[in-house]
Amino acid sequence: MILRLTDVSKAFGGLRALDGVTFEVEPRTVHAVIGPNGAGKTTLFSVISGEQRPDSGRIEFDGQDVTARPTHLRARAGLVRTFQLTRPFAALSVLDNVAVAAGAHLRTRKEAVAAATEAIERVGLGAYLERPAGELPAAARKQLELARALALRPKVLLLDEVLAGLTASEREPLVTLLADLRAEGMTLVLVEHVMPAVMRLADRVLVLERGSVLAEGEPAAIARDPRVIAAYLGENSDDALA
Amino acid sequence: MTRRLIVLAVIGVALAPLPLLLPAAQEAVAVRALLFAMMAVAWNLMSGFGGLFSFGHAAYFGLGAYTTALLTIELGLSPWIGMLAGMAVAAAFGALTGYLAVRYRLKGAYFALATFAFAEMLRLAALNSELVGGAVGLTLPVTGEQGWWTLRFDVGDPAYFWVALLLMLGSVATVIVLLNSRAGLNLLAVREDETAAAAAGVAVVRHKIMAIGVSAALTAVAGGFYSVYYLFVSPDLAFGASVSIQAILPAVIGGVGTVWGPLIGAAVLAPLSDMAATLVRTPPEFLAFLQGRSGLDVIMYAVLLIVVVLAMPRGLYGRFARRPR
Repeated sequence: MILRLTDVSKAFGGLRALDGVTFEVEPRTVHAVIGPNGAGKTTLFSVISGEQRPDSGRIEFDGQDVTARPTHLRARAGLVRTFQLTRPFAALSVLDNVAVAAGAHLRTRKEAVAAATEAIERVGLGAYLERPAGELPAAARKQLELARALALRPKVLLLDEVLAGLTASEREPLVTLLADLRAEGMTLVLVEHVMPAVMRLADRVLVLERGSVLAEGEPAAIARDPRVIAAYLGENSDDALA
Repeated sequence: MTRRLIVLAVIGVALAPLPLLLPAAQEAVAVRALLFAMMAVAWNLMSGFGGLFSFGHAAYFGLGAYTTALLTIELGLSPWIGMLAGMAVAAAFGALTGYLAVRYRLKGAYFALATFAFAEMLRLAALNSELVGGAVGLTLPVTGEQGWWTLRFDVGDPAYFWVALLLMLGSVATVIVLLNSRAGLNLLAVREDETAAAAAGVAVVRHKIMAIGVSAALTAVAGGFYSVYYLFVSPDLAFGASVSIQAILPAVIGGVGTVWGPLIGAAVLAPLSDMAATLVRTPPEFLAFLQGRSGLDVIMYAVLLIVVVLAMPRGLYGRFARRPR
């Protein structure tokens, strides 16, 4: 088990964003988290990455209890997230954006720049190295999020809708990249609305509804689960899962 | 980085002969400009590059000025030691108050107000403490051994300018080296987006406190030099709000968050403030009502600030430079 949540709850005022969520992620697998808007997917990521402290429950990563550990130490340990609404360091160049993350593991700036360049080229942003990140188009910002995360050498990579808002042709190389990362032994947890990609990549699917786990299992089984279909996929489930 | 250090060295070499060329009265203005520059360079590190807007740099300036003055008067120590001690005191004060402000998540205007409150607190403490001369302030000895160790020279001696120049160059070099380091890059990331910086493995609080501490120490050097040069410190001159404004203005006018902006701003501002002072002392016929009035310099600063903010929000340097880093 590389990531385990035990009975994690988080409320904002009267809203129970997460309500006793328990789930486990095996190493070298792809776990998808789906659910209707407001189901608690992004809160789940915030709690796992450390931006939000859960009100109760426990988070273990790589054999250690990280419930009280600050975000930057989780990130350095290899529990890394991307943001759905991209958060570039706008005034810094693409290279410097990623060098910040690469620097977490490397002593010298030179090494950090080399590692950052590699990550940037891997996500296909090589042409933008010296560009200020604030000037990037939306698709490139998504790639930048991914490059910054990869530079941290994640063991578990939490991807918050990296594919959303991209055209099919922009998606394709990223989906291939994610499949490659998994083949290299990385563990991926995806929040994703793009169903074909979820079905193609995921080993397991976790369905959240109103902060609780509605179902968890293999994609094919989830797609057939009547509760899931009723709660989330709706009548057009055949299309959605195609 | 190497390129910037070379530019800095060229600036140093170009400015060094200035006191030999200028009349004595103008040399005082030049020293004033260097003092402005030191303060603004330090402020710019914390507020321009660190994104932590300070309205209380008088706190660090005053701690440097009073520490240097006290150690010189009471123990007869060299001002160099006084400045080092002042740096340590100011850095400790900055780190502690900075930690409190950061810990309680003060941001933007609230953070600025907190820094202002800390400076006012020190001003009132100095005003009411007999140890540091209360409202009267401290006067440093004029007589005594002269030289580079005691930093005591004849009035108008070019050495004062050279000392200030060295201190200013040292401050800018510190900023350049810091910016080029991993810590400097991380600081810029924290300024741009704290949440994303933490997610990228950056210890956000530690970097903010580092920026505040270094900025405070550099400001204390300016304060220490002030007490050595003007031989007098008082609660208002050391801890007053106008001191904080003097740290902010050159940076804003020259270009916040740029390496050279504060220097350009200081070079523009110091002569202007001198002109304002002269105007009040000996106004021409039609401005006779200004005779002896105080506050003209502050009005002038305000007008200048409004013009700059409206016409070139990125400052003089930002306006004309190709693209700030």
